[in-house]
Amino acid sequence: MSEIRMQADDVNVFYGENHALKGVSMEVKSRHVTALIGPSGCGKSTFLRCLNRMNDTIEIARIKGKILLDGENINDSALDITLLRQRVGMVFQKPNPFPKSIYDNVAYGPRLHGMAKNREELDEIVEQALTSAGLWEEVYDRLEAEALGLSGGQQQRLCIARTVAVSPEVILMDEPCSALDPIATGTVERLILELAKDYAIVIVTHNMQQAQRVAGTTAFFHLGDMVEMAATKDIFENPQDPRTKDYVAGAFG
Amino acid sequence: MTDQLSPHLSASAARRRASRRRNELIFRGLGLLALGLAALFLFSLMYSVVKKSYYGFVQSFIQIDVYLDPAIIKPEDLAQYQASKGVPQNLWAADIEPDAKKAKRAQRSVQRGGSYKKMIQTMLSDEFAEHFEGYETERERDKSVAQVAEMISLETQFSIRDNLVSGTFKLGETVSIWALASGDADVLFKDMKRRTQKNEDSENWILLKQSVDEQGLSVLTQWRDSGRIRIRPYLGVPELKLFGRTLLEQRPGFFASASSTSPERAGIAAAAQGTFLMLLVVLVLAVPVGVLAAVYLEKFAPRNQFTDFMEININNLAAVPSIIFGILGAAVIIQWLFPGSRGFPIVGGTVLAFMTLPTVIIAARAAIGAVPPSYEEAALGMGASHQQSVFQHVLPAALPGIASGVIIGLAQAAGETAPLLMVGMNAFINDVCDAGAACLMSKGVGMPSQIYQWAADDDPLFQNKTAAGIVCLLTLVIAMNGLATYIRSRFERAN
Ligand SMILES: Nc1ncnc2c1ncn2[C@@H]1O[C@H](COP(=O)(O)OP(=O)(O)OP(=O)(O)O)[C@@H](O)[C@H]1O
Ligand SMILES: [Mg+2]
Repeated sequence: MSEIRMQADDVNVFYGENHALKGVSMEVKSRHVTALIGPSGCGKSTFLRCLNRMNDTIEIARIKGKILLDGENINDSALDITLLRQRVGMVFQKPNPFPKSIYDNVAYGPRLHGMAKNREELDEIVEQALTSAGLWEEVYDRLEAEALGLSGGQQQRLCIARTVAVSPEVILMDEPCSALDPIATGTVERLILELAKDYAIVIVTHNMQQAQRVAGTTAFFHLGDMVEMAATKDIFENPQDPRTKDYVAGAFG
Repeated sequence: MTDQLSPHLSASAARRRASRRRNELIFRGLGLLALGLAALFLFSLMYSVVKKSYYGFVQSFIQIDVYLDPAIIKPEDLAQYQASKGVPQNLWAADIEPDAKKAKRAQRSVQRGGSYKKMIQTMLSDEFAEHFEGYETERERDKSVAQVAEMISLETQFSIRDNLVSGTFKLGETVSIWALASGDADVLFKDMKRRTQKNEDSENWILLKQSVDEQGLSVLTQWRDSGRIRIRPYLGVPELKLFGRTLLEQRPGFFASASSTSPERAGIAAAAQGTFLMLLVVLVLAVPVGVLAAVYLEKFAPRNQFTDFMEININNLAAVPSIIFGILGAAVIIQWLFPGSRGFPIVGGTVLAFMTLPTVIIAARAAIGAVPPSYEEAALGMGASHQQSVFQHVLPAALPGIASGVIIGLAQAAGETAPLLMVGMNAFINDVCDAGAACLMSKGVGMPSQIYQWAADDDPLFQNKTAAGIVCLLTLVIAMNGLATYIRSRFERAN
């Protein structure tokens, strides 16, 4: 059994008057993929963004509750937020590489945090990150090319490589395949499974087959509540809550 | 059977459709008419300015043969002067001892314009002796010769002197030169060219008759008929110095000369220099302040009543008439902060910077706001601080938009006249400043105020120079706007 990396305890989020997340508690295990599913607007992204405090950038958002990362409350005001985001990386729905070269995209994080002492070490980190994102073979001969010249699927894997290059402990992914075609999606899914050997991964998805293919644990959200969380197999084959049952049967959402 | 038709096919519906078609046609016609009128106005304006400017860029020259008389300029004086100026060798005294006292006298003698005028007059009275006849006294004859000599610009005297000093001309030679005609003569010659027939009755000819007598007129006619009058571009080469090394030698002409009381010698160089210096000041003051203000307002400032108030004020400031900024400069900077700085480009530039600031802020905010938030999100997600994400990602991505906004602001500043008049940058400047950075703090003039000055003079050649100045300013502004558009379109394609 893998250890618990993050633990959310009674997390509430308000966007102004809108109570978007209502007392969510959940555990994120390392070397494990946790999927978040649920109808649109139920608070999946909101919860995901709580885990590395990206909601801080939204002025009207208020967050209540405790989220522990290795036993330390990340909502503590004394916490260094940049350190948190180094440890909990994020991949966004739409591939968003910087308008720079492929190399500079991957090297951005290590440079920012002074992770390499010299160019050789940096080259090493970049190669490893690109390799673990399954992109090295495709780009090793054009690292100085513009990242925006890559295909959508390549861009998304570049974004994953960029996140991996910082050596996080947890990787958050918000619908990482929604902008990709089925073949690119397959590549990214294999990559997720590969990464799950080292990292704790939390992924939001609307694609239930995807959840079944990649996730060990699945959590179902509905209208700001986390209704049910269990092993993926159980959620899809033996849901306990009627709302979960309806959702996985395709009745709403 | 009659009423079974669809209502859309009835006669009244057909009438309605016809009337709608007619109205749309009328509207289209009116639109085209308005467009045509606007185009016509623009075209006729441009046409008249460009046409008028042609005679500001070209000028009349008269071919004359001048004897460089060693009796008027003494060879020793010239040699002494050359020695004091460091000119390597000369014809008469290869080894002259530089002597401070002699050099002073030599300088007076060589530099005096009267000497060269005398050479020209001698030339006229000798070469055209048969024309200057029938005078009662020698004095009357001399007066008539002097009048004709006035037809040759002062510039020619300076040119002979400079060539003598540099050793190109030698004393005792007779040199054949194309001499710049004076303003009055220039207008006449251009008039003669415009109308090919002999225009003895033209307005300018009559005017000329008042400034020369019968005999003088016959000399001019002789010049004209023997093809010794040419109309050629007179553009010049502005001096270009970089780190103390002269890259371009100055040669007089429209682009190389400062203004002058003689219209034929007036050029745009001092004004262009003033405008350049002011734009430099605008760049140094308005750009950093404007961009940082925009970054702060767009990315860091908390949303509250104070920032809303600031925002409204910045937008209002952009609409304040420029003369008000001029008054601000006159009252605050010149009268209060730095008395005696009236007419300095640094003051004019500061005023223009204030004026440009809102434009820069608004353009920079728009450019920053247009950067996709995903860049910032990505940086934040990797542990960059807010400030790092703004300065490392948002600002570089916004740079082309900011640059085009800045250039448009500069173009606007380059064309402003009212503030320049308010801060005294419409002085008469007859020398291009060559003191480097110190030119920022010596009396200057800008292109719009120079044009304004010339326009106020009713001399026909000054009117042409006005048009030529306008063409220069328009070219500058259009080029800057074109550059801004180019940068913006490149930027938009990249996104
Ligand atoms: N920036 C925001 N400002 C205000 N309200 C927001 C903001 N982001 C989300 N919300 C609200 O919070 C609720 C949950 O949104 P969230 O984005 O977490 O849903 P989601 O489950 O990710 O939906 P989807 O599947 O469509 O991405 C919604 O009601 C939404 O309107
Ligand atoms: Mg979402």
